[in-house]
Amino acid sequence: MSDRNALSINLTLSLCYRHGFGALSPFLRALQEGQTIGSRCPTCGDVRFPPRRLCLHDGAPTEAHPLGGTGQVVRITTASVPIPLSTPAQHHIFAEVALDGADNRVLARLSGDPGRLHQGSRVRLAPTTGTPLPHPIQALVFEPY
Amino acid sequence: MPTKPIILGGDIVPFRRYKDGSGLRDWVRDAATGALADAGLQARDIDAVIVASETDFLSLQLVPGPLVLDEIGLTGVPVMRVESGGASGGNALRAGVMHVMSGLAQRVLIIGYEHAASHLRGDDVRLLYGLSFDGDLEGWAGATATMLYALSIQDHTERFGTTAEQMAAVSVKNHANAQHNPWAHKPMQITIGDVLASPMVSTPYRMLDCSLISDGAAALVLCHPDAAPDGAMRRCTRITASACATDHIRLGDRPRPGLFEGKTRAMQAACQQAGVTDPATQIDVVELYDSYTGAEIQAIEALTLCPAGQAGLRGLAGEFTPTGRLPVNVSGGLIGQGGAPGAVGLAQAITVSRLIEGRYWPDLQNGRIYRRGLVDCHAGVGTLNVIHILEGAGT
Repeated sequence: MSDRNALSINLTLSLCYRHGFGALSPFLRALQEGQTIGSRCPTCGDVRFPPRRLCLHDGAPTEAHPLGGTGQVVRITTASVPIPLSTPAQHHIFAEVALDGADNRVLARLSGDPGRLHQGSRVRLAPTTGTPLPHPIQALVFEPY
Repeated sequence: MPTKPIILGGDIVPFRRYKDGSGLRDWVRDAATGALADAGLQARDIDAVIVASETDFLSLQLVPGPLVLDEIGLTGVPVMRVESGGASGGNALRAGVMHVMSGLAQRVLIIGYEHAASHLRGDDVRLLYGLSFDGDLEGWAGATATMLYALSIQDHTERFGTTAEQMAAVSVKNHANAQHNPWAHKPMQITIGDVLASPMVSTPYRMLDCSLISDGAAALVLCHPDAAPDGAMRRCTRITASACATDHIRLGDRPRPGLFEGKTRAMQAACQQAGVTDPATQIDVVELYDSYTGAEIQAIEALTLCPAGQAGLRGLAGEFTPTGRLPVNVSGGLIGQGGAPGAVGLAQAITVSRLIEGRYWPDLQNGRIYRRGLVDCHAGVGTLNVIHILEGAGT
């Protein structure tokens, strides 16, 4: 600010984490296998995807609840962004998707023909490619059908 | 509130993208020195310090409290650090209020900073900010702040017909206000057409709909009325409400993701504390968290400063300009003044207190007299909301 001779250098910080997923593990394992497992409240029947450990309405512990992997695009946005630790910035479509049988929406990436991706589009979980992903949530990709 | 802490003074290190080799040590020292001078106090008069910043990944300084104390010559006094994303400064102010109200301290120095603009590459900053929502379920999927705000405003648009022009008018106003604010990062005279022609970032948000990522600092001195210096009670602003409320972290769990319902909850609590029954007529001036143009519209409505669905139209008609019915973001807000997250909430409070005291930047004070002002900031997409109500000494 006032010192015109202030010194500055370039610093590079590289961090490697061993990151655990705890109670999210069954959901993320299933996702990597192309399955959608949500949660259901045994008290009020509320179904959420991604799963919640406690019901949002009554606080009751939930149980695992398989869903069919199909749903509807509720809102959509297009942005040029990188996928972390995966691909450099390019145009991606992200959306809020309401899975069939769930009472909420999930943020997810969409793939496939952009002309078929809009509000109201029917989508299904895209098959996994078998390529290891930097983070299992990156398997949460829907495509039109 | 039974005890109404007094804002004795404050100062802001201009929000910028500093490329001069300066850093947080310089900024917190300058902000604190300026705040103490504005308050008419010496460092030895302070009996507690609160430090606010969003993330050490930006500053490369963990445990910043003792470092800040060292820089301002206050080693020995208690210090705590507050982190609440974009509401870090606001929640630090709230922690200061708690200190004063509880009797833990009489004169509290609150300092916020962020080294957000010039320390890391933009993509790295965006990745970090993506982790400030649900890191595992959204950030690592590639979600950005702009994306989530874009999805939120779409719900608002579906409900109320909010238009791109209404949103662009917010950018025009806030950049224009910034032209008269020497602390501001991006003073600009632009038109609605300029905003609509700026590059698309995440539909429907364009570059000029987005707030700035800034470096900077702000500091403020808070005081118990019993410990106020001579004359302070007559000239200084007091805090009559300090509230915080939250919403679901993920938009998908909100039934109405375009409405900032957590902010409304915080506003209801703040109004109850301050005895405000009709915010639209009893609040004179507002600094709120305009992370995006649409977010200003959403916040005005969530704060119940106008009926739901009307803020866009009213903004387009000039209601929220410095000469309008209810000036909003006279400073330029995050869009014009800038966004150094740890400092924003404090900068907002300094702005409103100076407006109430009639000593803000002359072209923005514009001869107007304000009795009661509102300060609002949040983290996430209106997820963690902090609101303060400030009143003049004569109210």
